[in-house]
Amino acid sequence: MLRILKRILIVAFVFTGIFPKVVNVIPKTFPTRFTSDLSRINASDLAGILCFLNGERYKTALTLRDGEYLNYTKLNIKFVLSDESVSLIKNQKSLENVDIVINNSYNDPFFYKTWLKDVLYNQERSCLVYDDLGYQVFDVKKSFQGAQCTKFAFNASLSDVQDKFNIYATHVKEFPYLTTLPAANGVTFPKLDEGLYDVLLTADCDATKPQKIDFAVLTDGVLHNLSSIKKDTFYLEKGKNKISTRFVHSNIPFRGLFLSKDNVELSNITVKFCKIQNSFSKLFQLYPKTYTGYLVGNTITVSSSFLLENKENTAKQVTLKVSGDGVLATSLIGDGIVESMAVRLSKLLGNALMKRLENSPSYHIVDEEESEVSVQVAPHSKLILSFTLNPAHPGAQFKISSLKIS
Amino acid sequence: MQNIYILLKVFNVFLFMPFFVKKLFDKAAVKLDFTIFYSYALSICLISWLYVLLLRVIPYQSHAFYIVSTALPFVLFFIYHYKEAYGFCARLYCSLKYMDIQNKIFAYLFFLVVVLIVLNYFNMPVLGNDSLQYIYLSKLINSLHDVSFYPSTSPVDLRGFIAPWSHPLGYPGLLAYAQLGLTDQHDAVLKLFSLSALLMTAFGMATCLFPKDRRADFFGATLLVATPLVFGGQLEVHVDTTRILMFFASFLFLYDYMKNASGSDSIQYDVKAFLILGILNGYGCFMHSSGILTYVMCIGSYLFVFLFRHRAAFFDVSFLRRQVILISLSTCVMLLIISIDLYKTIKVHGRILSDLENIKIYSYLKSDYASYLQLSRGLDDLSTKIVSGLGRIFTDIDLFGAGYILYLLILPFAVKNMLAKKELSIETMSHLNVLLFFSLALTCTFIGINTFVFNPRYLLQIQPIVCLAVACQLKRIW
Repeated sequence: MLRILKRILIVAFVFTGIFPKVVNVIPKTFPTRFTSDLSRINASDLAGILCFLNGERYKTALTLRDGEYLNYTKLNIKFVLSDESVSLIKNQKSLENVDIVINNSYNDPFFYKTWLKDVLYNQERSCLVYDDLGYQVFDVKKSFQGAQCTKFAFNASLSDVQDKFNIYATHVKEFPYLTTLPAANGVTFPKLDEGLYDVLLTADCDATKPQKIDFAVLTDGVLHNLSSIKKDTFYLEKGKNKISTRFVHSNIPFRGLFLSKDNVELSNITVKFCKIQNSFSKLFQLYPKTYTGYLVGNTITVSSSFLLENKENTAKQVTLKVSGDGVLATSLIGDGIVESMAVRLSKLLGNALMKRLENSPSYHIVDEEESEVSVQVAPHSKLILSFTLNPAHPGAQFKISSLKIS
Repeated sequence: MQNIYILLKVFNVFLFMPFFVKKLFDKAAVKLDFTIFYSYALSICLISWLYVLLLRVIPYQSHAFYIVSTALPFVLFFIYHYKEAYGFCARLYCSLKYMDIQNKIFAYLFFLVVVLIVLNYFNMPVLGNDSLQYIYLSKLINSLHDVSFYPSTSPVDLRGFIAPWSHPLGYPGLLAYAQLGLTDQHDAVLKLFSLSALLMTAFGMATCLFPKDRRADFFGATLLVATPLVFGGQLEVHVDTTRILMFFASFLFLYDYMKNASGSDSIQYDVKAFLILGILNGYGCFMHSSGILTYVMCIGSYLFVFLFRHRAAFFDVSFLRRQVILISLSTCVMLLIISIDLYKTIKVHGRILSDLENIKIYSYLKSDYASYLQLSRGLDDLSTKIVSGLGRIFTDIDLFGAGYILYLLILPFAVKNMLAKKELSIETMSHLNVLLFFSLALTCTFIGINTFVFNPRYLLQIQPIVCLAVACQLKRIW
């Protein structure tokens, strides 16, 4: 008996190391060409930014990372670690030869400690043209100078302590069903015209010691792992700091979350919204609202996600006919109660396993020949359609000839 | 034509070259038990070294020239010794056979995990920035057919690519060889060469060590390949599997030599053994600068074991002089293999090893980057560095697997068993190396060298030996 127990213990120890990963290792999709990496990239987090960069006419980028852009795009890069970057910091005119700046959510002193912060976090000197999954692209040849922007003041205070983080939330009262954070009274989210906005948030932050703060944006009633909604990171010195962050968001209310391991004091939070004109087909969006009418008959030229919501008590069958060049991923999000159960269970069983069992996207390869994709959406659920274009083919697109909900 | 190139390169690296290296080992006549494993480990390095050497000496030639030049001598050698070649292949097959039902269970588990690894590895895209840098560098080497631009902190091509590393060209050279003569669509060959290093380590562990009872072999190998940092794709086309292979090969060789040494061997015998050790360390350094760590570990554990066993002769001058000569010889051979790379690195960077020091912007914004690096990694004071930095290999099972935490659990029992034994065993060597490694890591952290703390992948260097030590103890209590 003791020997059997010992053996079970040994095997259990080994499998705590491998079991969560074993579940993930079974391929979700098989590539159309075994020897090619490109179809696998379609299903990865890099797909969006690569599609965007390949679809635009940018020539030169100033960037924190080089590997992915050199291998998967045709961009010329100015890498921040090269010797030339020192002269770039010393000479403010040197951005003349740069079309875009690519930043990441983990940030870098090169961008937040030099004069570049006055370009990147200034809507009158640059446009944020791409923002998703930790990648941001700033077009330094365009700006919102002269545009009508809306400015609001927020406040924030400690709302929750979770996963060893103090969470300071800006108070927006439209989220009574956010179970991880209490409903807040106070500032009402401003009424904005429908569309997408370049949002600049600035704040004063008083820190008792050098520390790091993560900034996240929470929208709607969808619960996520906090790290998955992170938008930016601030590295604070002891004393007073001025922090700035910029992101793209739609007109619907959101809550800003500051996650800190130590206590901080946040004040003078201002948020400036600049409407992005003619933006729909250009930018990556998430959870704005249903766009059924828009999808059919139009061409999707940039990797995009769309949300279809079933607000009724009966299940709906969503069927669409699509052709193009890339991957369509469909995933379902349930209501708040199911979501919070999933979050609790994921801590027991491991996030990887829960990702497999819940909300696991289904991938459909889309090619020139039109194919039909059908998904059942449960009552009071949301369906996300993620179109990821083939990054190997600049100019790739999707066409949806019909979309039926029955 | 591309398929012919692929076949020729694959057979060259996995058959013709290992056979050639094995013959060299046989000719050296040093009593060793694991020459097949060393042959395979050295083949991976040797092919890269040959290709890079050809590019230095005869640049700007065609793909076919380099493929044929690196393959033809070994193909001809293989054909010339065809009878022995057949025996080599047969022996390979025999070494992979396993025995009774208990061994089979462990073997099946190991092979299952390997199959999943291979499926995952070929199915995942290459996304890591470091991996993509190596791949781009290797593509550049193949398009320019030249390596004179490396290393450089200024752009080396029109697209702005820089290659600032102080690592020799071993790993990019291997990737470049894998892609030689092929189009971009053939990523599988590149992944095969990179993955093969891990599989060689695992198969080396699984087939070499305990011929009569394979459970510990397969269990240790399974623990190794089941390490999530390996399993989960974070080591995609990364150099880590290659440097782990060379570290394990050097460790195993040292054990092999010391176990089989009679004590009354001639100086020529010892010279040959240390030449081989120097070659292993040299190629380890050629693949990655962590070969220096391998060298330090080898010399350290050799001195500890050998001098302890021969402590009666510790004050014998001729005995000590002999050790100094042997170690110096090994060091010289190692330096000779990487001499050109060392020269180029010193010429460009002014030092042998440099990580952040060669990046000008880090010096220009020194205090900002110092603060940033500490805060971004969450390691600001010494206690946090040790607990959260080094200590994460025990707590972060999701990355480092069960090996390290199991090691902690079995350590008291292992120490008790080792003290009872008098002879040198693979288990004793494993524990010695693990303890030496962690002593080194702790010492570096105490004196402010943050390599192991800031980059947890370097803690993986000792992974095969940790898994081996765990397997040896668990075999006892299974």
